[in-house]
Amino acid sequence: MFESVINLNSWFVFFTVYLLIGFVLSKEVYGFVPKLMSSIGWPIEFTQRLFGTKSLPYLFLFPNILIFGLFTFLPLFMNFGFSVTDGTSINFESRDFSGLDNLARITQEVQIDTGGINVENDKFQAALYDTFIFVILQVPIMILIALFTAIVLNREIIGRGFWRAVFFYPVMLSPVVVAFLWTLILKRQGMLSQTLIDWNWISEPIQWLVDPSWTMFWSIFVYTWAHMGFYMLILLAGLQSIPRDLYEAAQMDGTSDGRVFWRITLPLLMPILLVVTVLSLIKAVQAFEELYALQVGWISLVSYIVENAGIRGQKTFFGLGIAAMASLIVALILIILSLLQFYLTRRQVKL
Amino acid sequence: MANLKLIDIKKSYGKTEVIHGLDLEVLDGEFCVLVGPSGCGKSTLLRMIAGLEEITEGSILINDEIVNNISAAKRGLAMVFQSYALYPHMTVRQNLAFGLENLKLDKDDIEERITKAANQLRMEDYLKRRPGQLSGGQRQRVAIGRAIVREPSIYLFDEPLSNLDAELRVATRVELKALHARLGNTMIYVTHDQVEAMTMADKIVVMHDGIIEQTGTPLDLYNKPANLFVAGFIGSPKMNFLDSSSLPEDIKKHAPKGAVTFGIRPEHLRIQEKNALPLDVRSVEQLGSDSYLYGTTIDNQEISIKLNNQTIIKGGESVKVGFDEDNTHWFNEKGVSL
Amino acid sequence: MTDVIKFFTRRQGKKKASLTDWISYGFLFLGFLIIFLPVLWLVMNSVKSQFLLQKYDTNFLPMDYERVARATTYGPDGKDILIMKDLEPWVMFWKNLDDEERAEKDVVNYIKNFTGNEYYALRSHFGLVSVFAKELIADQNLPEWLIKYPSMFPSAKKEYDPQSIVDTLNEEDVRLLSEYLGLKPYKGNGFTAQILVSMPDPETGEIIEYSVSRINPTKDTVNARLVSDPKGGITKLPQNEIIINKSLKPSWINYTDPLTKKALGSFDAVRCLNNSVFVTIVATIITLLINSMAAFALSKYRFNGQIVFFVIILATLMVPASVLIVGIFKMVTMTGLSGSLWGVIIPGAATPTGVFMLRQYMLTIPDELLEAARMDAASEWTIYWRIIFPLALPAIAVLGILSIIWRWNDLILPMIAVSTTKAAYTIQLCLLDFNGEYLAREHYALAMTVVSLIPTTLVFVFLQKYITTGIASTGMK
Repeated sequence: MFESVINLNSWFVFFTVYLLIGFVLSKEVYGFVPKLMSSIGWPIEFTQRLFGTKSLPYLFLFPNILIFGLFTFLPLFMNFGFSVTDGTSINFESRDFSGLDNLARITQEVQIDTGGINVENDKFQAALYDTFIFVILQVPIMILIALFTAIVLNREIIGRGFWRAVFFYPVMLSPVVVAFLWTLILKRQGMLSQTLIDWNWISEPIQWLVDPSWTMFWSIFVYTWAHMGFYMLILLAGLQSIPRDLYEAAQMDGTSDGRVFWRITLPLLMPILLVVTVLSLIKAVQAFEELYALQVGWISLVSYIVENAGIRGQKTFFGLGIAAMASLIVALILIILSLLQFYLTRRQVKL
Repeated sequence: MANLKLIDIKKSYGKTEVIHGLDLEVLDGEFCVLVGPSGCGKSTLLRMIAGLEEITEGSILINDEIVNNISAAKRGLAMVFQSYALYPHMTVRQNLAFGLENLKLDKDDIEERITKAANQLRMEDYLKRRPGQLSGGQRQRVAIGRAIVREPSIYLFDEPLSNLDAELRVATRVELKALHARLGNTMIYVTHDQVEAMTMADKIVVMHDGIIEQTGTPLDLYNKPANLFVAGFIGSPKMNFLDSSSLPEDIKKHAPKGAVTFGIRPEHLRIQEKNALPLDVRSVEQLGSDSYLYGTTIDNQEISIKLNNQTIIKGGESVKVGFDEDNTHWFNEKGVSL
Repeated sequence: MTDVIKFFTRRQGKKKASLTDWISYGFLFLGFLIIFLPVLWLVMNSVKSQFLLQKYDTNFLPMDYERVARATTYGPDGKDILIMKDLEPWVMFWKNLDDEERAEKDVVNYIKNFTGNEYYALRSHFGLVSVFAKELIADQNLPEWLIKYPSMFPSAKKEYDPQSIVDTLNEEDVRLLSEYLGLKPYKGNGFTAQILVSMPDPETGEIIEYSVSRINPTKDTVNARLVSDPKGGITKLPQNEIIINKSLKPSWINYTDPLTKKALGSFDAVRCLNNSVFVTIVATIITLLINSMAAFALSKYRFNGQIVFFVIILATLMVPASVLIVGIFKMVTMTGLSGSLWGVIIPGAATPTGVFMLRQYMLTIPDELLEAARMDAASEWTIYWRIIFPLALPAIAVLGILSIIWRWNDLILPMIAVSTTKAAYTIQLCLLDFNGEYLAREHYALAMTVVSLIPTTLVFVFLQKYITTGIASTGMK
């Protein structure tokens, strides 16, 4: 059943040996859980016995830092490496150094390899442009809907928990499922076209997801549908943290509902609203999974990277390098946005 | 059974020194109370003895062996914390067993010790409950029980009674004292409450600002305070301090050379006509058995008086106060007792 | 009734519901529809038969047409049209089955239940003519060239005279061999699935059944044949008068076939689900273990570089896996995890969100408990797993639930690590792959999509409180 699990690569062997050593060392320990836990933690136990407690925090951090190092920081450096080399191989020995050629390939009008007109440049710029349009439209729309929903849910509503769960539910769905759900409705022979034909609103079925005049609309719609609940929840928590007595005081003063919103709710919610906006900007720039599974008629930045990286499908000669270069550009955008977010949330994070 | 010796202990956090070189010896079987106002370093000192805090300078000796670099686990001490620090997710029995399991004692031994301690502290009924289901007093017992099962050479108590209500505090005080008598172990007890210190200690160590002001038996400290701080700290209500120049002549004549401040405890003052200081009574507290008078002298020095009976004096009246000459204290300009 | 209205319109302070209230409820209800109709539509479609899905059925419920088969046979008596009712669905859609599915059915025995033209029609439908004909040729020692005859060029056919051989056989074998060889008056027999409709006779009011090949909603009439007299030719029936016999027929085989491995081929739903379950469970355990260890170090110790480590861990939030695809792919390959489920599990096991959330929670555990444990001669590792871990359980439960959802729904790490190894596909990859490749098996894909929804939906329904508090307290997904 799990043939792919038990292919004896060195990691598996290493961990087995590690646990076996721990098992042998914990022979004085009885009971399943204690035995298991001492089999896992024996290096920490031994370090403490031999060298005292000074180095223990580092050992507790080690597994996490190791994984972050191997699969977040080293990949970042690897991306640098790929972005300045050419070739289909992922081994650096068989890749040629090419300096900033890859940057030229995705930004310059002229093909630097052949001197002809550069198509890649157009593709990348289209991805950049379309993603920009997507982000600019999707984020404000989603935040407004999320804010409105949160405000409605913060009222004295019958069954608030139920409604909150309803709006949050799409967040639990995987991107693939979200995509299928909407493909079923939006494909050429899908529910929407069929219904509109039945009502005689349109005569020919429309390919909502591919049609250039509709693809962006439905991308934004589906993406907002899938993620709105998450931001709604944060905003709702923010609204509920505003002290009740402020509203009661306003009521005593006879303040109108509109004025209460503009003068009390919005200013007090502003910090959270800012954070939520930046967070959704970060997520929207990375939009990929839903759009990829929906097979929409445009390519987002991350889709562009995935397609060029050739992880699923055909590898091209410059693909890896171009993908790496593009991902550095996206990473730069994300880092700037994240620093902005960090700046906005710094009070939450007690260092 | 063990004795404890501290030699020139210092402790700094970064550049701030909070303990400035302490020497202390606690004899085998002694009940030693570290007392002082909050922030005086008494808890830090206790935690250094426990091994929870590192020592910046100096050495700690248990049974004449230096234990500076021995971890808390291996010093063989047990500690009762102010918040009791019972493990909330374990039952009382598991709380008691936890330390013994860590020492890898065998099951029968653990069982025996728990039964014994539970018996001693009368907590058999709630061995299966969790700390959250216990009352404050019961938690207190469990915390003490957790120390007892360890059979430590020295018990450390960090303000263990401060979370109890007044009535329970008195009862537990008596019980702790009895426990000490029964076990005969060395105990070190930290408190900011001088009543606890006076009632329980064989030896009181008064600390202030990271130094030891005075060490001695409770009565020594009461009768012969070494300085203004100890004189003011021990005894309730506080000792009255008067500028010695403002005293009536025939008291002043007893003053030793260099005396600047005169001290006398409220219980050593009485209402009388001759050799007396005029006093404006501001308020009177009637406790039934005793009465307290609070007032000011002509030159606005505050004085309180404890009378061993009920009184008819009321606030706003003027009285004359006399001194019990055998119980006077004199301090020089540095505050040292003469 | 008025009580009900009162209940829904009442407010605190006993005021009547205001306009804003009505707008609020209207908005909430609209949101409910937009969110749940698509999900419900998916679920309903997942129990529709393959036939309905191919017809782009727009009914909400899986209402299936009652179907009949219309067969055409040819023989000495000329062309015969017959209508067969009550055939099993797999018989109707034999042409849509693949080789493996066909191999499972014992059609040779099945057609023995039929006689006459029905038998001949089904024999052709199942493609048994050539099988039986070849057996006949072998049994009767007929010339070998007969086998090749149907595929010969017309010019080559002229050199042989099959009719003379056929004439020597008995009546049944004549028919079999003639159908195989394509000799007149026999021809290949036709077989199609049709919709059964009925209409009352305009004069007598008696219900008469018709067979219809398709109903075009834009036209006023449908072309129909009488079931009782199929040869009677086509009549045009007014569409608004016919009764389409539909019945609620959920197609449970959409679920049972993939889950019992009856739907073979490259889509092994059971393996995909197993892989996902394995990844989700193991990855969540590892995540909880190592993240709580890191959070313990960051919250309960003072050490050099503490802030640096914390910032480094938070910094990993900035560059998500989707952006580092190339680099992660390289690292997964370099560490030998490529193509293995461990390649999905390990790179995502350390999560900055998890460390942050647990650290914030552990800060609230009093240090005195740790000191008490140290006095109790507990080692630091023992303190971690006997004191801190159990006490941080509320936060750990939240992280565990989030991790289960992340892992079950994850697409990017499986894409990076196991794209080239079908055996290690997780359910999300399988669904993605399957939807792209086999449109003819949409019914299975839909059913498996619904199955993939079940774990997260169950977690959501029962543990919603933990998820919402977790997200609301950290502001992170």
